[in-house]
Amino acid sequence: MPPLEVWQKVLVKDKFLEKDIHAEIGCIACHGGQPDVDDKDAAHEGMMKKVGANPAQTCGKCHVDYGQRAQTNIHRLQTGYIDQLSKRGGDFSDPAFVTAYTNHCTACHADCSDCHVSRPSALGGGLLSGHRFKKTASIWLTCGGCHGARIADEYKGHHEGIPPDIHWEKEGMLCSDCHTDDAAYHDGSHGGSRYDDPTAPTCTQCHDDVRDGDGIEQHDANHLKQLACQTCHAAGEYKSCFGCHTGVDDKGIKYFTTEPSQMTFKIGRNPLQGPERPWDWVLLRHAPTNPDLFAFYGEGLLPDFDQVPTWKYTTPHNMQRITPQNRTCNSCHGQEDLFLTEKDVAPEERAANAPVIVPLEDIPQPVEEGSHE
Amino acid sequence: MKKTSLLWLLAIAGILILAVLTIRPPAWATPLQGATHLPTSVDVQPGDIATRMLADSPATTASASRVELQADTPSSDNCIACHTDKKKLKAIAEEPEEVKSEAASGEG
Repeated sequence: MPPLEVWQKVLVKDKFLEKDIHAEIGCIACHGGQPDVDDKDAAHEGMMKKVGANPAQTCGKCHVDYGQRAQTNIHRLQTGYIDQLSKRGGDFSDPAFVTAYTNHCTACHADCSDCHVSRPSALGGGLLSGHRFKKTASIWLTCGGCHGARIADEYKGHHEGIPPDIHWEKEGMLCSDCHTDDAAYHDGSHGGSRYDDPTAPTCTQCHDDVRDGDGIEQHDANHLKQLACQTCHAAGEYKSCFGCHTGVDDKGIKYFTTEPSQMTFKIGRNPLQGPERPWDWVLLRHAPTNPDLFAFYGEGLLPDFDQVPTWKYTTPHNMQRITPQNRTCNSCHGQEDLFLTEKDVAPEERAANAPVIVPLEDIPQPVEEGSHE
Repeated sequence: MKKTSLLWLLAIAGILILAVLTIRPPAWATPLQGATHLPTSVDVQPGDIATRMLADSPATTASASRVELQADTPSSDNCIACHTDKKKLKAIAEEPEEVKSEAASGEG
């Protein structure tokens, strides 16, 4: 998505002024700044560009409930990042760690305005539609603006040879059709990652007729109990990222480097097994992390790195009914390449991934077609 | 009953229905109770306010908080005059300095 020109980013459209209730409040009520001044710099003195960053004083004044939920909002506070880094031993009271985190992680923060009135910072920012507020804005500019390289590309079928998600292809479903207002993006009081959200969408909320004996051969009690839906229904490879390193160059500009991303499809052991995710087998995606992620800022900033797998639980958004691995029993059974085995994991990451690596002897053996056990 | 009488009756009924609709505003147009200041009493939950605001029409969402935000707020005329003027914005737009490090590589 090309970024907007600088002037386009701040152009207010007449439609906003004429039709949007938010225009009645006046610019200064939310943004501050100086009235009755013609000079640009003088007029902008004391102005807050992104008022959504302070929802209690702005959006939350009228949208009281959302303002309160924003206090714990997972997108705003990045609780998922904090959870994962804390589990790896990141110390948020250590100035070196906090500098690293602030320099490289907080750019992914999103507040009210990043979804309802502006493009997210990751897309260069700028008003979505001349300052008009959108209850549900373009998902490709907002959700996809941040979750584009993985989720949105999978969903729309942008990876060569892999079809789009059937929910998009056949039904044209938008993110918000599953990720409803109840779910984590307006709340985060559950703490931790998005998968800790008890209101997160599940396939069976719609597909409530999936059960043993529903007429689909592989939907027997054994498979339904042991396999996450995506294990069988993800239509192919999805993107994994590797080798992120961070630093600040000699001009004082912060930067990161990553190795080229790879398309992967790996079934592994479930690292998040629990009542909401009881399955033994799930899909895994490599997160762009490594033991030296923050090495520029100091040694041992992630002392418990091995406590969390780098091949993480994932739910690719490229679902199809028939997929390469569910076409026949032996499209999966006996297919070593589909499973995350030790050879797939870098030696320095094997300890972290021990809980999810599949021992060769655990890979389901080929079966006589039509008689799977 | 004669056809003309029936038509007269229908016309009168129509006028009466129209009068009722005009005099009594629809439920969605009823203003929020006590909407001159932000409700703080314990019997009004913040969630209720937000829910009602979302459900109500734009006319009725002219509620307490908006009034509160507007109160004593200076005029925004200058802001609007500039930010709606394409030519002016183009003329005064400042390209941000390139902040990408030469050491950066790979996708985020």
